[in-house]
Amino acid sequence: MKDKKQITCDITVIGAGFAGMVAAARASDLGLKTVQTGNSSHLYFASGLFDFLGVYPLGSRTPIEDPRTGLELLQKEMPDHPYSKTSLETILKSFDFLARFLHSTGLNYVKPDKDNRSVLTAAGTFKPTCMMPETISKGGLLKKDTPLLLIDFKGLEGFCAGQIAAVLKKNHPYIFTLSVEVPGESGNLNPTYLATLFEDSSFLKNLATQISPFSNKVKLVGMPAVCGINKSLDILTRLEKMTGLDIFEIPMMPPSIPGLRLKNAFEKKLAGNHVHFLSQTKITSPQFNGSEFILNAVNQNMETQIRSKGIILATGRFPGGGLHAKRGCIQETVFNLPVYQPDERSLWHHLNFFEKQGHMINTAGVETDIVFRPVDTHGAVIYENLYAVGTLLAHNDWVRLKSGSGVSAVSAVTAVNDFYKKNTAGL
Amino acid sequence: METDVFIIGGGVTGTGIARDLTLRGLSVILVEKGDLNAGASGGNHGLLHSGARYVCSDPEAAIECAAEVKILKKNAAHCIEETGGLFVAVKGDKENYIADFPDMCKKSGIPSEFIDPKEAREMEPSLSDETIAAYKVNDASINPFKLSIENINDAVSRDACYLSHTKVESLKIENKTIVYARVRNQISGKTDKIKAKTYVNAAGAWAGNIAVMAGIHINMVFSKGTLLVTNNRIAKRVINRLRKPTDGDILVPGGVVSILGTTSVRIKSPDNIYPTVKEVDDIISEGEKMIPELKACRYIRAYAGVRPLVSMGSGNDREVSRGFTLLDHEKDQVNNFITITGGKLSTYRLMAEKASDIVCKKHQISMNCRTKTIPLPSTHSGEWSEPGVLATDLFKPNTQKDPFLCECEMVPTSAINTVIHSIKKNGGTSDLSSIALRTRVGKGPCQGTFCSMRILSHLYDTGEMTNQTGINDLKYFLNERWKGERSLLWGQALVQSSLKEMIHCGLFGLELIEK
Amino acid sequence: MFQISLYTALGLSIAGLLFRIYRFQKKGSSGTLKLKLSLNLKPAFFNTIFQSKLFYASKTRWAVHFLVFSGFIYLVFFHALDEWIAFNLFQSYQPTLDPFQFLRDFAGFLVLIGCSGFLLRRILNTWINPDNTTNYKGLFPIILILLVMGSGFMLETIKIISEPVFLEMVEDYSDIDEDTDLDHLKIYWETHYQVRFKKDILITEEALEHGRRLNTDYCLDCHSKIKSAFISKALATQLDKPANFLNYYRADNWLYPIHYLLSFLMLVSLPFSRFFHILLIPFASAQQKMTVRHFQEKAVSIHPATFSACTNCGLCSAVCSVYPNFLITGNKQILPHFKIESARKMMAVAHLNPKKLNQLQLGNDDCTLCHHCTDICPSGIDLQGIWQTLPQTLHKMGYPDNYTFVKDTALQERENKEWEKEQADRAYDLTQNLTGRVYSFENCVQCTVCTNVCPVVAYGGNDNDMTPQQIMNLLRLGKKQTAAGTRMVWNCLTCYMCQEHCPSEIKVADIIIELRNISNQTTDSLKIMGAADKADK
Repeated sequence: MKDKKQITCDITVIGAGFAGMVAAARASDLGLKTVQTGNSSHLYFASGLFDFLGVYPLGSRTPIEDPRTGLELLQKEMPDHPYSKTSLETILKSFDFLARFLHSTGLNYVKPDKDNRSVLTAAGTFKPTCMMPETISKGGLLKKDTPLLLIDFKGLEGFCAGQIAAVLKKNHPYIFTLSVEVPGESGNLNPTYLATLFEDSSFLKNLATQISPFSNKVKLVGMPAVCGINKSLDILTRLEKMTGLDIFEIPMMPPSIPGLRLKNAFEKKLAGNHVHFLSQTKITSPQFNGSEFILNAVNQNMETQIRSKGIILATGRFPGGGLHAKRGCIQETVFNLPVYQPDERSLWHHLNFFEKQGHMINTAGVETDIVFRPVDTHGAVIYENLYAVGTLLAHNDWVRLKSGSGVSAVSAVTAVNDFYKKNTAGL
Repeated sequence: METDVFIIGGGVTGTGIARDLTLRGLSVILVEKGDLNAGASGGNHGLLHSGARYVCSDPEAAIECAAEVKILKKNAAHCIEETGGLFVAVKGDKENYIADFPDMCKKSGIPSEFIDPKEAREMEPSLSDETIAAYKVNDASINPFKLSIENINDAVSRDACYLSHTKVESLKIENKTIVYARVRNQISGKTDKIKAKTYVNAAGAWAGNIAVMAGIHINMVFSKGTLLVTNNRIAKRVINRLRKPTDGDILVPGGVVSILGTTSVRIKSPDNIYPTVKEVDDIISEGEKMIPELKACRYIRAYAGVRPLVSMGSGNDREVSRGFTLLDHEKDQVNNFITITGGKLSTYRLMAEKASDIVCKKHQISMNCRTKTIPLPSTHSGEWSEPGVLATDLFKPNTQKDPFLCECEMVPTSAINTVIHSIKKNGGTSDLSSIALRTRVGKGPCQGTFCSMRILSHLYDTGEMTNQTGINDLKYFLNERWKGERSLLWGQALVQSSLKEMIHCGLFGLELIEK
Repeated sequence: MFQISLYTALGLSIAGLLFRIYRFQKKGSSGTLKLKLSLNLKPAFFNTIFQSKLFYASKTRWAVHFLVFSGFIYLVFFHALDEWIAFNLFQSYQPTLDPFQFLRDFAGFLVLIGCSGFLLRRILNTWINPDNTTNYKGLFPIILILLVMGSGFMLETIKIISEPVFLEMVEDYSDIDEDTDLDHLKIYWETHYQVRFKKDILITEEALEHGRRLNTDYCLDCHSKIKSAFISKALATQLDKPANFLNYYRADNWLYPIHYLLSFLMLVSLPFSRFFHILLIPFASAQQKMTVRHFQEKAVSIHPATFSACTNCGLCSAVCSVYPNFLITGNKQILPHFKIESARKMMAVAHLNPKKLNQLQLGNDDCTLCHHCTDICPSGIDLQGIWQTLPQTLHKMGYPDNYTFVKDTALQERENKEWEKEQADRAYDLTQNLTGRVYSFENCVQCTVCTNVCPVVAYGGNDNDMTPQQIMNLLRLGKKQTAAGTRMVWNCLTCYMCQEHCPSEIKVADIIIELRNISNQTTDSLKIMGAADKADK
């Protein structure tokens, strides 16, 4: 027996990944009555780092330092890219909005003025990023002669201080490693459980005691990104005080604790902003009756009919379920919008997984106008109040360009702003 | 280095010969330019033929198969699952082939039993409604990795020496005799000379390349076959299409998955082969006629293998005899050199026997082959090549103390350590790829997304790896898995590999790292 | 003969009592639970004398029982034991003298009414409530009492109308020897005491008056007018026709032994029948109820005698909180009054029919320990204490709960499908069949989010084996029974965190619950088979 309900609202955000969350944040911020559907657990795959533009052009081996200059080139050379529909100013404003919003949730993010920072990852490589949690930020300030201590935790799989040290050794001669044994724990340690241990002061004291012997040898300490689930900056600061050293978190494989922090922050704040979140629901049979959309948000236990003036489609790509690839073609899963895609499957992927130019399938997606409304093959807008945002958009290989969060943020904010402008003029 | 016999090639034939010869008292060094089963032995269907498939086209091969299979089922039972097999025809298949089938089987001495199609569908619910005929045969499924591992482990236990990643660069010939072989270690770059009394070319598809070093030309024909692995086991038995052998004819159970194949594409060289999108589509189109589920089921990976065939001159590769080619190069003016190539996985032991007989004659050893009677021992390190072996009564999982490093295939830390130990004992280097070969690591749905980092960290943690090569190892490992995934990335497989790209390129930026 | 039978009956009864006590002690000490007899006398007193618990449970049933209780007590002390008690307490006591004559009939009348009430309730139950509480053990005492009452009244009636008894009494207690006097007395007794004489005698006023005077002289001291023996008087009136026949054949001479032999039967059967409740209920009521402290100190024991104090009144089941479960599943062993009987039998014979054992265990599992049954039990049995210790008792008998059993059962046994032949009578909800459909779990991307949010994984300690996502992998590898036997499946709190956090929307918790159902199904059947094997040996 399914619980059946009906809701009417101004705008529905389909998707609870990063783009969906930003859209819901903006919509509720503007006072729109907002409903959100989707599965926010995809944020467990988010590293917590936000990227604007990390690599340009495609195929370049070096990350760019200043995303603004990269953007200029991109807008000239890739006119179909989502960034080419907008301006540097709008992109920066979107990031500002994001920073403000996150700050209001208690999550502290740092945005260096102009340049990307290269943040150390668990593989010993560096990821260029433009905005990062304060707990990670010092990991982007590694200099060649900085004496560095890397710590890992026995039982935490997939993170080895020695591994990172081995990769860094060539350029960073002064690295020490420490493998911390967690008292009372032998065997496998899950990241979330380890993160909760950080919230216990005796654990912190013990950790500080193990780090202290290195305090005269190093200035900086790197540890896996498990420094508490809540109030991570407070805990990190306390640990820094206890040891007298600067500390930074290193992002690792999912499940990502910084991603979980984002999920918690968004969910809590949006709930406080009266965004009605229908968790783990899928949209079936969307219809449009000329003035509003009628959708069914369905999951195992309930069926909710939503009547909404506007839709922000933030359903993501293949993992998120926004795009579905059959053996021969790619479809958009909610509205069956036309999808820009390579002609045949043999073109989807390159023979080399790490191909510099990236895989053609990653540019597949939904094409839009300059305010991010999906268009058909003739370029005409399909629905006045339907917007597509985030990684669902075509012509953006965000994995290679390191442009995921930037495109998501600017498209989400722009779309919501546009809807607001067009539909609340009378208010 | 010196020895009695120098074997080139670490497939089932090479390792089988190593075992056979050491059982007859000879010392052996086996070199392999990659790792075990790098060629056809690692890219086949895993099918232990009843022989029924070749009753019409190649009766010789059929009879050979049937006899050998019996021996293998007795001696290497731990590498074999006695699944049984069915030959099924669907509406539209040639009626006279179906009609002739039972007689042809009888002629070759291969038992086959008529089954009513309805009964066949009860035995195998995945069969199509349009099944019009079915015959029961004695097919079985075999694990070729385990086979090679056990063969080489057995040989090593009698002091054989196995050198992986060691490539033969040249053969020095003096007075119609090979004096030594110059080899180069692919990883360290170091070269060495290996002296032996006899040299065996068991290099499979590369036999021609080796023979050329001795000035001998062999007319090799390369036929690529692509195979698909499903996410779960679809049928209990081997399911064959009851018609003249063509593409997409066979579905073989491989433990907890099923393997669907195959194709036959003539290629110029056995190197750098990969499954193509077209092959994948063709195989599925054919297979789904027999078993409709194959249309929509999830495929985890695809792989390709090269059949080393020695041409007698005809056009269609399927007509080249699947029987093997054994050449004593005394007739080519090189007295201590033989080549063994071609053949089928099912008859490897016979091939090894025949080759070893010639070698022993050259060494004037009169002992008869003992591999027919002495069973192949099962070693602990060999067990980990079997899927889901953890989930049996033999192992009591304790994921607290002995965590899984590969979650999909449930391979615990202790297993990885056992395998590392065995690799080092055999003189190899323990890295992601060599571990993956000997276990199921990376072969599950995640195709290395998570396990790669976990195992790499473990290698560093335990001091097995200390330098920067970790990243290259990771990239190589992921690319190897990629070869198998690329052609079937749709549906859920695409979701999984997108996730893989998000992590390893999006976060770790591995594509930015130069070698 | 009376004496002989009396002493024999008494001897047998005492022997029976001692035997029962011996058996109870033996059963109690064979358990490993510490036997600790502690007495709580105040409730015992009130419950024994006033049936206070029954009073609170049901006024009607108390009233009906009290009729029988009061009447029976009176008759025991003032009729059966009148030689020792009544005669000593009251100088002028005679059974045929008012108020004792009246009281005797009245007491008998109360017992008759009460017993009819007992029977009526049982008959109505058969119609109205098929889960009736009647069994033959309950009927035996009722029938026996009715027979004793019936024979007693008949005896009194016969004695009333008996001419030979009259003549014997005249002979023994008067010095009337003249016929006319005798005749006059006869007339008087025929009129006022309803004796039936063979020969008709002419009744005149003077004769009657003379008879009355004679009666006053010789009889009145011991014989009140028959009016007060109202039941027997009524019966006597009905026996006009056969009176002479009965008198001639001295019906009183053979009714008397019937009457006292039936009474002795009651005595002898006391330790072996429902009559035992007379002694057991005070005993059970005196037992101290089990508390949490007892469990902590491991001083847990239920004296076996208390099991037998159950009178099958069914009041416990009427107030059982999980009665609705019984309506749904039909398992009678959910109901306390069936459960206690099964438990009693189980302890007596050390094993039960395997399917019965299974039902008993399942039925007891449903108990929520709400204490309603114990509060209401008129026999004062500590029912909840029994339910709480029953799992341990079953475990000792080789019938552990499924959680424990799974741990010790080899995978092969669970996988070889032999158990499918022996199905327990329980419905397992396997309707979604998530574990049988690959699509349910094949979309797992191995992200381990479910494992990371699972509280059992985080805090389950040494009992952890597989994680939720590894269970999905086991299913994908076709190892359903292995998955169903993991500790994870049994320790799962069904908090649903895994299912709610799964990015691929896999129904992780639902699958785990289904596996637990499968495991229960297998385990129940294996236990039945195992118990059957043990029984065969």
